[in-house]
Amino acid sequence: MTAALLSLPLLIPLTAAAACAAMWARPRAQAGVCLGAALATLAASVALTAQVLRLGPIAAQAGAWPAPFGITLVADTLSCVMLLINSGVLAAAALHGLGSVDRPRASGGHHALTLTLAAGVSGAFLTGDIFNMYVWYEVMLLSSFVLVTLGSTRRQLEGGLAYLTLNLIASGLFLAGVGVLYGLTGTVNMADLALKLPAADRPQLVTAVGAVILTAFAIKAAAAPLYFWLPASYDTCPPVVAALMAGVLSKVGVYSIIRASSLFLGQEAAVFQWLLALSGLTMVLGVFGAAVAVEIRRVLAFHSVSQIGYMLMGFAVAMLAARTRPESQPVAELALAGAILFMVHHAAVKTNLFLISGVVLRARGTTRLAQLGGLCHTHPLTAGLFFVTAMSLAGVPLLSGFIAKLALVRAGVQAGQDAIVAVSLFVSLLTLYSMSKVWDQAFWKAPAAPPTKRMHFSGDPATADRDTALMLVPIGLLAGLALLIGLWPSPALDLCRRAAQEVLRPALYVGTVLGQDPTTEPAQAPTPPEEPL
Amino acid sequence: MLIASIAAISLFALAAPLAHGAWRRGAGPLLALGVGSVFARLAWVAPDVTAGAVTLERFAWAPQLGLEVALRLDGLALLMSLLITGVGAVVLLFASASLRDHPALGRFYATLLAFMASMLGLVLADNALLAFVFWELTSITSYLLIGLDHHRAEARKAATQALLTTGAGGLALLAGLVTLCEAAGTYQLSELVTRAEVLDHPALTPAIALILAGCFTKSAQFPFWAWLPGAMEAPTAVSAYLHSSTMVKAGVYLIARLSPLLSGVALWDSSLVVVGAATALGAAFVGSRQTYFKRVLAYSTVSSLGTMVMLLGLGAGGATAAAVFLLAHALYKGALFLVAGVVDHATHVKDSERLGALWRSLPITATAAALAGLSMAGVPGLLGFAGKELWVKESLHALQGGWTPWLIGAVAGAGALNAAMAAQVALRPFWLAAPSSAGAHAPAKDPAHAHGPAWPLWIGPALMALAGLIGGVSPGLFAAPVALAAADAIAGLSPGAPGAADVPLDVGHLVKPGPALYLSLGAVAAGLAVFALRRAYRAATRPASALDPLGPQSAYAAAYSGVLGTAQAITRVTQNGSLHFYLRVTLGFVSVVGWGTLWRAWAGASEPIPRTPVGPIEAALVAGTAVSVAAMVLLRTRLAVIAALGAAGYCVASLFAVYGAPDLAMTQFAVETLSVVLLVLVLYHLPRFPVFRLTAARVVDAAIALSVGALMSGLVLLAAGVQLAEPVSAYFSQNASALANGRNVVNVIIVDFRALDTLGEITVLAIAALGVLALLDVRAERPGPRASAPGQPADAHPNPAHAPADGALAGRAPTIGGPA
Repeated sequence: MTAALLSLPLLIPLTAAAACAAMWARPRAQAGVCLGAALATLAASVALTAQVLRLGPIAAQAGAWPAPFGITLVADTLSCVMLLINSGVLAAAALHGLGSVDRPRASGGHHALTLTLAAGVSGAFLTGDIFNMYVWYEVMLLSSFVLVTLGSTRRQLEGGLAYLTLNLIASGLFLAGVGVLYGLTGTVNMADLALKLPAADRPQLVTAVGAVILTAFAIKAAAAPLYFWLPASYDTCPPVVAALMAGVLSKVGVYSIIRASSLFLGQEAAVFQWLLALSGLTMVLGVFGAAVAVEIRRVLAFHSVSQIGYMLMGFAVAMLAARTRPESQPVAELALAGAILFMVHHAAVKTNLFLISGVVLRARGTTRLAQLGGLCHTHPLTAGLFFVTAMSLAGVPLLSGFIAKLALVRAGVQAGQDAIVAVSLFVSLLTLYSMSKVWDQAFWKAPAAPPTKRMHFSGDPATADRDTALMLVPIGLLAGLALLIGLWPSPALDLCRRAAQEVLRPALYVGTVLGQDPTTEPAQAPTPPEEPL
Repeated sequence: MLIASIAAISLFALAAPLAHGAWRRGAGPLLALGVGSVFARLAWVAPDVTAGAVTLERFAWAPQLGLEVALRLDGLALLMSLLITGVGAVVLLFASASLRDHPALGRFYATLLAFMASMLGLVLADNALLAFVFWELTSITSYLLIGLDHHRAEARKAATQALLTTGAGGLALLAGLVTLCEAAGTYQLSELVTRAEVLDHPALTPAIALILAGCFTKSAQFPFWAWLPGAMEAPTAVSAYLHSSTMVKAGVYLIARLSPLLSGVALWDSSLVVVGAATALGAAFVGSRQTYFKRVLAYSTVSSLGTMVMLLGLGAGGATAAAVFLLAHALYKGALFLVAGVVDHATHVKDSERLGALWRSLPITATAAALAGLSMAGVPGLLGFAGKELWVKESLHALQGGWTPWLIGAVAGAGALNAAMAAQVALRPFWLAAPSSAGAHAPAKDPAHAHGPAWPLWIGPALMALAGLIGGVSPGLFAAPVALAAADAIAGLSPGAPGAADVPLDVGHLVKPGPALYLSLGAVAAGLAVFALRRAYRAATRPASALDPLGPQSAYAAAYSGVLGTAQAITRVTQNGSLHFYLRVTLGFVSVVGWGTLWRAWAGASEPIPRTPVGPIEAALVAGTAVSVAAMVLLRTRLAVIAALGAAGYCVASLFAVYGAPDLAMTQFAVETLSVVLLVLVLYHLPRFPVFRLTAARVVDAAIALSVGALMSGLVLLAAGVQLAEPVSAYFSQNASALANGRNVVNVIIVDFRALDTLGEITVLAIAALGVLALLDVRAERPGPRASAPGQPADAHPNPAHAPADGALAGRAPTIGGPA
């Protein structure tokens, strides 16, 4: 049961992707399969989360080969939160895609690739094996690259090239680092590494390997100064693809940093000092780009960079607090809970903003601010949803962004990290500025040109309104989620706090994977498989 | 009751667009009635509160963050909430008439009511974070209100300036409040102000600086006041409400709220007095040179806010003066703003110099203007006199306390110029003759423009002016109890306790010969003189405009363009579109971080580097790889480079085969093949290689590349010699046959021990195949390349998914491809 539940968020999208490939000539049916699979993945993730909240972290051994010899799938609360993010964003994108993905794109494999992307992300969140994580990284990378370049316009290919090149460097570094790690310890099971590396007592050596692996993750996470691929590619691809990628892809990097460095790579506190410094740089450089960008999707792309900084800041503050002063455990928990909540918040909000940019693009044929205007008259509902979502991104109260920001600020002040708190608040102001800029230029100002130029698309013009309505459904739901977290933050905060507590006590994770915990399923004997995957 | 008041107004906000849609004309008065009932409810309990009763309501919100819906009604909160709801009801009524034909009236009601609820929440909040929540909400809602007429660029600009200024202050405030509350160990404001031990905490100084930054921006103090006059772009109803009675008082309110704790701290007191006095005088000077109604009123408001801030820095006596002044100011300034709105509505003239003798056509408005103007000038018999008299008294008192005489100068100057401004807006257009010069507007002779205002327009100013009169003539009726209860709350005392404020506000007590009276009457006289000689005064002070480049507006502009200019300059460098630059930075970072850490690890390692024999085949394959890589670097044609890349990959794959992993090798061959195909498809259409002729650039590139390569070799060599733990591979060879029934261990690892990896890799292969198919397919489906002009912007169709189906997808080839 547990094994099945653990594997579902991975297997559902993978199987559905295969189904899509089998229905290659029927894009409409693929869209349906994609949406169905997305909702099923969401349901499976919710069920898994409920299970983990009830039993604590759970693990299953693929093929019933015992850890650390086989590959372990493991879900603690952090993994569950990330899976919820992934499946939620997937569902939103699939819903939006019903209206926004046209036939040429769909027949190019958009839906199948969306599903393999989701499967890769799920795999990365579920695996307890660092080499297996690399495999899922490759699944993600290739899926997203094809998604980005599908359509092959010049800008897409340029963006795709930057994306692919820089991410391949990350892959290469990741793989090299894992190879070295395996050479050193003879294992790639993360729980096993968490036991063996500290026992070897060679922190400087671990940091050297860690530098390579964490740099790879930092490229994936789009942390400064390694984020170039993100602004280069997010504004060239269709908004629904950008929404998928902004919602989950860079968070995989953050998740990996959290997972690997809390378990085994972060033996020296200096690692987190560096991470903290880079988080500040990430926030500032990202928001600078957003403040001067003149195109909605570029603004959003740069913000994705900036917001990654907040997540890394929370994690670094937490680890520094936990490592330097044992009594500051509550501070560390709050900081990490804030970082995790920030990921949830950002996934909902940034996905939504990209989806809204899709509606704007559909309506006006451009997302350049200079050519937009008057949308709050012509599209009042979209305008309202944009305003709520944009204000949430800027951290305005009653919305999710404020709760996440408040947790980080409080924890930062408690931990005595005043400098990073000051940076984060300055960045918050520029975030507010760039969101108000978009609101001002796209929605408030009088239209630059009469809004008669409706973008053509391959669908029947008669279905245009229906398509737009379909696109607005997930947008409304995600805006509602931002409001819900803002108004009633306790459940989300409790969930994130629990995730943070587990991350800060790696023994629980290690015990779950290696079977030293009574809550683990007894399916680990090297006897014939009981619960084959 | 408190939560119900906020909830009720929030509910009105949600219902307002519906109400407007349903009843049109009736919606405004109905909403005003609703707000009025909240006012009545608060007024009902006012006697209890002024007698010392404190109402507390607490609800959990996010205890994990210290965020609690804790509401508390004391004297200060009562004064503020009565103003918010009372003035709010009147302003709603006014807006229902003055904005009758505004296309967004329903949305305006909703935003104004949302602002009102936020403001009420702010003054009732007893939790610092809750107060901050409402504080931010007032910033956001006022942004929407100032930008109500958002088709006008000036309105949008003013809205943005207000948002950024108060937003920046808000973030400083958040940092300050969190710092202060963490130091004190409580987020409950009523608890916080009793924690005197926090005064010795090292975090106190930054906390005070940050909190004051927040309060000064919100209350438009020097040098942050520029947004407030700009915000006059908003409709008059908004200005009257936000910028006279409520939002701008939020900063003053918070200073007052924290006074019981911080009053007496040297930094706090001196900042308040210096900044407040500078604002009071500076803004009065700028305002006295204006003639447009709303600009005069805006600067006089800034000046008055400065006065209140200054008074709060003067201890308990100052608190009393500040409370009285706050009440008096809200009444007369609210009235005068609405008067300006009535005049604008009736005559469409915004310049007070171009109007005259309006008492004929607008008798009630003129009377209200006169009463409010007298109150503003500080003439005995009106509440404004009490405020001003106490202000002067406390300043004189402070003089004995050690403040230098310039404070008195500032007070006298600000008082005189405020009297002049009062005459400018209340006397000039209503009671003096219409100007005879050309272009002047004489409404009496042009009845078409001077239509008599509807009752919702004049009732507001009339009521507020009347309240000012009643407050002056008979202060015991409401003004004194409410203001003094607020003063007690500011001083941190309960009413009736020893030391509690007990200042008689009636004229008989205040008009006592003495320096205070002389000074205050002298100021009125001087103000009238300035008004009488205003042409000469404006001419004489014209050179002062040379100081504008040093003024608040210039400071804002400099900060704005400074930050954005820096952002622009940095982004232009960092995201410059050159993949070459990105690669350099990325690999450079890898090199620096990698070597920085690897060097330490080498230094700490004692293990020797292992030496293993190399056979001829291995040597050949390694040599092949090296040659391929060198070819890749040296070759100039894209296709040749891709081929060389493929060759290198094949050599590595062959190495796998040599080391006994044919399955792995096969996978690798397949992946390499597909990669080459994909790369050819993608790269074929990109421009030719740029040739870096600069030797320096090539040297840097080579250095970075070699450094990263050496780093990898170093890591591998280090790892090869160090064995930290027993490898798991022994398990595989032991159990492959016994448990997995396979004799080839590698095969068993791939298909059984680590089957999940293989599943992932198969997926990668499938995606790669799909990708190739899609890239070919999407092209093949299109009918031939569309003829697009060579100069066409590459992003004419930024989104192919929405591009025309008939060729946009293929439209790229002629414009960008070119022969490879």
